[in-house]
Amino acid sequence: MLRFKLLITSLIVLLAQPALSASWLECNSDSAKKLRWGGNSTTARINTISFSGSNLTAALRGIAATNANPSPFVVNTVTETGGVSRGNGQNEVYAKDISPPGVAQMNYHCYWFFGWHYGLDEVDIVLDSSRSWTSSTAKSANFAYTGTALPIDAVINHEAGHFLGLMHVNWEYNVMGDSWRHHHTNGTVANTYFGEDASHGSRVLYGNQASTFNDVSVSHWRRTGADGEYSSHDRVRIRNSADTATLTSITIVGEPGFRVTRGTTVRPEFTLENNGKTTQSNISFGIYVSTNDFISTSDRRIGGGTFGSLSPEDVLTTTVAAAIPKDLVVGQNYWLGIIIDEKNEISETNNTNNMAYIPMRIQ
Amino acid sequence: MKPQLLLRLATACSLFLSSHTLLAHSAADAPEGGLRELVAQSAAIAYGKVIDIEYRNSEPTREEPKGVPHTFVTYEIGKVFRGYLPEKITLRVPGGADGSGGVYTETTAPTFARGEADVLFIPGGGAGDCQLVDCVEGRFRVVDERIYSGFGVPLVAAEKTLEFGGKPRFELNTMEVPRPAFDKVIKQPDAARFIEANKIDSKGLEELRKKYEAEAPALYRINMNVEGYTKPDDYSGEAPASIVKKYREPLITDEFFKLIEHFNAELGQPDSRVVLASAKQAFTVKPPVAELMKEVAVTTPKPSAEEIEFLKQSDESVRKTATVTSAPLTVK
Repeated sequence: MLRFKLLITSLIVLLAQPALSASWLECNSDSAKKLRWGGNSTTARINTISFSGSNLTAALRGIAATNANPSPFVVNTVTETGGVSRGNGQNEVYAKDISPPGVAQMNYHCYWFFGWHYGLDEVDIVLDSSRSWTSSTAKSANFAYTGTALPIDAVINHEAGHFLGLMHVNWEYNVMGDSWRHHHTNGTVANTYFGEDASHGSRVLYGNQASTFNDVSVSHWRRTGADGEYSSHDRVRIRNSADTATLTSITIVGEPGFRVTRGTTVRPEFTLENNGKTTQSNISFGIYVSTNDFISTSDRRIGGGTFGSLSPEDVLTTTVAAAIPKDLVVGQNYWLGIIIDEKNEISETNNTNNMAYIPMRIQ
Repeated sequence: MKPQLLLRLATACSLFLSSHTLLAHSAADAPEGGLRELVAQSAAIAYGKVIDIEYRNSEPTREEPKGVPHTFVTYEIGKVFRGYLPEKITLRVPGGADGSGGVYTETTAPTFARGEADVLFIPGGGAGDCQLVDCVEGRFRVVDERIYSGFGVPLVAAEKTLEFGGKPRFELNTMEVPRPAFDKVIKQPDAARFIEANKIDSKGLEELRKKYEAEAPALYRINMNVEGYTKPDDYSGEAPASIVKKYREPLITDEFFKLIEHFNAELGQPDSRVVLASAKQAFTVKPPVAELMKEVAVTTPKPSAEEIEFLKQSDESVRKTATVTSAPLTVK
């Protein structure tokens, strides 16, 4: 019996083992010589020929998203009006006609001179000027939702991860894998964010910031596989009560949704992240049904509970049980939502990322 | 039956089976972005081994007075699948060492170390920006008779689309860099500080040179490192949810080679030739020019009253976060 108990305990520990993930460059194949900045800040110079007005606002929003991480590292911003070049010691952000949507051009040093010397010296971010971009956070503009354009802030957020020294990760849901499908979305707005995985990477490179930094969040995106060195993301699903099958899919107002039978129990899937630096325990959550795509406590609460523990080192895509009320109207669209930290018990740096939805049509 | 006859029969069967599989492919069922398109974009395709790496900066320009570091990688070619290539080829890609301890890398360009075996898809004409089709996308790593992407991600399917997934081998991303010459490395800020702090005069500098040349490693390796490797079946890290996708093992070399040969035969001879690079020849690259971003006009949707009220509150919250995490914008 004791042996059995030990086995169960080890299994729980094993399951709780966080799947840390981050990648970086290192000098002389030594993990103690990670290529990062010498200090805890650098300055990005945003070129106003490429970015002005709303485009500039979007670029700044992308960098602000990167800065919302629990390390002490900060990317400061200035604008510049002149020319751009590589190897000038300035971190420039500009657009030109290139093949990929964006690229980071990194200058660093790594050499031995009676001891090893290494570190980042310059990172330029270049976006492809020939593509169709949007400066808007409206999901109706974003190609990952119902729009056609690439969000500037999302790609800047990803490339600014390279500013810190982070490289691509394809085995976790993360912004360094697929920044296009890595949003906090509620209602009409889809916000790019740095996320737990890159936040963890920032702490690997720069350590924890001294001030309190708590932030839990939920998203309706999840990792579905890999695409080269990038992760592939897609929308979360609604599963059957046994979590053995996904319900029938249907497009609802241009977004992926599911046919749900009223009076049954289903398991909506959500991606939970702890973007902070310490484990959060007993996180309250509520499950809601809304008549629109904006989830709030004004909607109808149909269930809830607590998540036992959320480590800041492992993205958690999971399902929760939801009993679909019998009185919902057949043939009508609803939005099945979640609110985490529902009781507002965690003092968070960002309270706007605690809601997510999945469209559903009642049958 | 004689062993030789058995071997012939086995080969014939194997060729029949492989050609039968390959016959399933045609131009009609080869989608964009697949191996067929990659073959079509290539003036030459070859399997080879890295035998030499040289770094050279582009010629100085007014905008980039130090030039931009580039890599000249030389391969010994073992097999040519498409086009014409000599036994040894040199290609130029952006990024590399500047000779004084500095390194330049583009996140879309490959890095090299001697001894690496690759399948290369090379566009026609000269070096251009990067002498591989779509730069790192035009390099496939061959490790233990298996195929990986230029970044070390297993290639698991190539018959229709190129599908990469499963346990990545990011440790394959290595750049081999020769130690900088003494006269150049002493110009590095840290090295200059060392000389100043130790009050080293010209005589002492010569002694230091000898010591440096005796003690400094001849080669450095800059590599990518990771934590949180996946399990072989592409474990997603999503403990309570099921594994989202299982990938097969990386393609074996012969399988990949046969597909390239099939598409090459289907496409016919390339209409251009590769002009090889040489580290001995000076070269120029066009300095970047900032261009305007092309923005799509958007009609902002009308949020619900519930959302408007929430947005008002969240604006306050975001403003507070921005004050903490981002320095104010200044114009220079």
